Amino acid sequence: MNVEITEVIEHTKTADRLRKYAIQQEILLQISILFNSVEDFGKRVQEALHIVGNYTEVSRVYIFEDVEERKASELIFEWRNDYIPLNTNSLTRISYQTTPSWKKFLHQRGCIISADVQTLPEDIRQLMMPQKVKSMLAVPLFLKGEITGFIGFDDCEVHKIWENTDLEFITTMSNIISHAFETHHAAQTLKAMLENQSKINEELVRQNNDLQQFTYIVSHNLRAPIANLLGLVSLYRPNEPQLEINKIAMSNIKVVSQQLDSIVRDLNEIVEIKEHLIGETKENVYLEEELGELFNLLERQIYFAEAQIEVDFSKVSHIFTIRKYLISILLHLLSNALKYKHPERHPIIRLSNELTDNFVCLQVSDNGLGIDLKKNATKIFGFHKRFHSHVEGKGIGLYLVKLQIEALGGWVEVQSQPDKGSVFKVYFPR
Amino acid sequence: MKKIQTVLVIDDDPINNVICKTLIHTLRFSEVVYSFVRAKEALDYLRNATENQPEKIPQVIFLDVNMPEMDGWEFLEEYDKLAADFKESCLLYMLSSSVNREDMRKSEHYKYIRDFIQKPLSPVSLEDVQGSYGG
Repeated sequence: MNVEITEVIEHTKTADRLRKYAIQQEILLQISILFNSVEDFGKRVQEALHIVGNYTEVSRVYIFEDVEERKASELIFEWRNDYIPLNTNSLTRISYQTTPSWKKFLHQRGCIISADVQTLPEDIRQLMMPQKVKSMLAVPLFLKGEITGFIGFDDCEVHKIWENTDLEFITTMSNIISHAFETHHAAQTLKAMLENQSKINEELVRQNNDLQQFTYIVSHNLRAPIANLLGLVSLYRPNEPQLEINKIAMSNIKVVSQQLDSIVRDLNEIVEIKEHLIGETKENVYLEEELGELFNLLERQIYFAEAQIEVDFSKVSHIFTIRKYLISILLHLLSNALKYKHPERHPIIRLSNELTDNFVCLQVSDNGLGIDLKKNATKIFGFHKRFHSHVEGKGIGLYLVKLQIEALGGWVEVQSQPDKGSVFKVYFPR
Repeated sequence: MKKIQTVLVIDDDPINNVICKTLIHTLRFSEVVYSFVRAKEALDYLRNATENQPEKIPQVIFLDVNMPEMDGWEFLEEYDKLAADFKESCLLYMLSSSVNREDMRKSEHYKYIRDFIQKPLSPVSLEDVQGSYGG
C-alpha cells in the first residue's frame, strides 16, 4: 500500500517535471522563432521578455548592457508585471565600481541567484533593497564570447525559489537572446556600412558631375576669348605699323584680355564657394537689416528703373545661414529683376518668405521680361548662359545663386512666363 | 575663279565679327560682309533677300553655335524653311569656339552644314571655303 502511494507520488512528480520541461521547451521554441529575424529588434526583445516574464510570474524582467568600457551597465529593456508598485524608482544603471560583487558573480558563478536578497553581498543588497526586491536571478549576456550585460529577474512579491531546471531554462534563453543580439549588432553594422558606402558613392558621383561640369565650363568659356585673341593677333601686321587694321586689333586685344581676366575671376569665385563653406559659420541673418544695405548698393538701378519694391518678411524674420551667401543670392536675384525689366512697365518686385517643413522659402517675384522655360529650363542656372542680348550681363548670377544655395543644402526653383515675369524661390534649410 | 559676293557672319560676340570682317576684307574674300549679333535678325535678312532682293542673297554664311535668345541650332530649324534653291547654293559653316566633340558631331546631322570651323576664322579656312565654292 505504502509502496504504491510512494510510486504514485513519484510518478506524479515525474509527470510534473516532464510537463514543466515541455512548457519550458515550448517557450524556448517561441523565443527562437521570435528571433528568426532581427527586424524591429526592440519589439522582438520586448515580446521575449513578456513571454518569459508571464511564465516565471516574476515582478520584473530586464536587460542591462555594459557601457563605459564595462565600468557600468545600463538598462536597455524592461518588462514589468501588472502588480509591481509604480512608485518604485526603477533601477536603470549599475556601477561596477560601487557594486563590484555583481560583476564578480556573473563572471565567476555564471549567475546571481538568491531566493532572499538579504543573503547576497552587502553591495548587491544595497542596490536591491530600495527596489523592494525579495528574490532575484541574473544571468550574463554574451557578445563574441565576452560578457556584455545581463538579463535579470526580480520578484518583489515572494521569495521565489529558482530550481536547477529553471536556471538551465533561463541560461538557454539568455543564450538565445545573446545570439539574437549578436545577429542584430552584425546587421546594424552592415547596415551602417552600406549606408556609409552609398553616401560615399553619392558624394563621388556628385563630385564627378561637378568636375565634369566645371571642365566643360572652363573649356567652353575660356576657349571663346582665346580664339578671339588668336584671331586678333593674326590680323596684326608688325611691319606696317600705320595700318588701321593694327589699331583695330590692338584695341580689341585689350577688350578680350579684360574679358578673359573677368572669366577667370568668375571661375575662381565658383571654386571658392566650395572652399569657403568649410570656413564660414552660420548665424542668424535678419532679412530686413540686410535688405537695407542691398537697397543702398542697388540705389542707382532702382532709381533709374523707377522700381517699386514690396517687402513682406512678417512670416520669417531671420534665417540661420551663411550671411555672405544669403546676401549674394538676394543681390543677384534683385539685380536680375531690375536688369531684365519689361520695356513697357516699371518693375514691381516682391520679396517675401514662408516656412515649409524643413526649409525657409525666400521668394523674389517680378513683372519683367520673363524667360521661356520650355526652351531654357535646363540652361537657366547654367554658367555664362544668357537669355537676353540687349543688356549687359555675364551670365554668372543665377549660376552662383544655384551653387551657393546648393552648398548650403537647399535648392532654387523658378517659374517664369515670357512677357509676364519671373518668380524665384530659394529654399534655405532650417 | 568664281567670285563670292556676299558673306553673312552670325555671332553674338562682336569681337569675332570684327575679326571675320577684317580678315575677309583684307583677303578680298568677298565684296560685302554683313554681321549679325542676333540670329533672328539674320533670319529676317535672309527671308527678305530670298523673297524680294536676290542681289542680297549671301553665298557663304558663318554661324555661331552658342548665342542667347536664338542659338545656332534654333536658327537652323528656321533656316530649313527657306527656299530650297537658296539652301542648295549657299555654303553654311558652323563657326564655333567649342572644342567639344559633341558639338562637332551634332553638326554632322544637319544637311545644310558644310563644315564645322573652329574659331578663329583663318586664311586657311577661307581658302577651303573658296575651294568649295568653285575656285
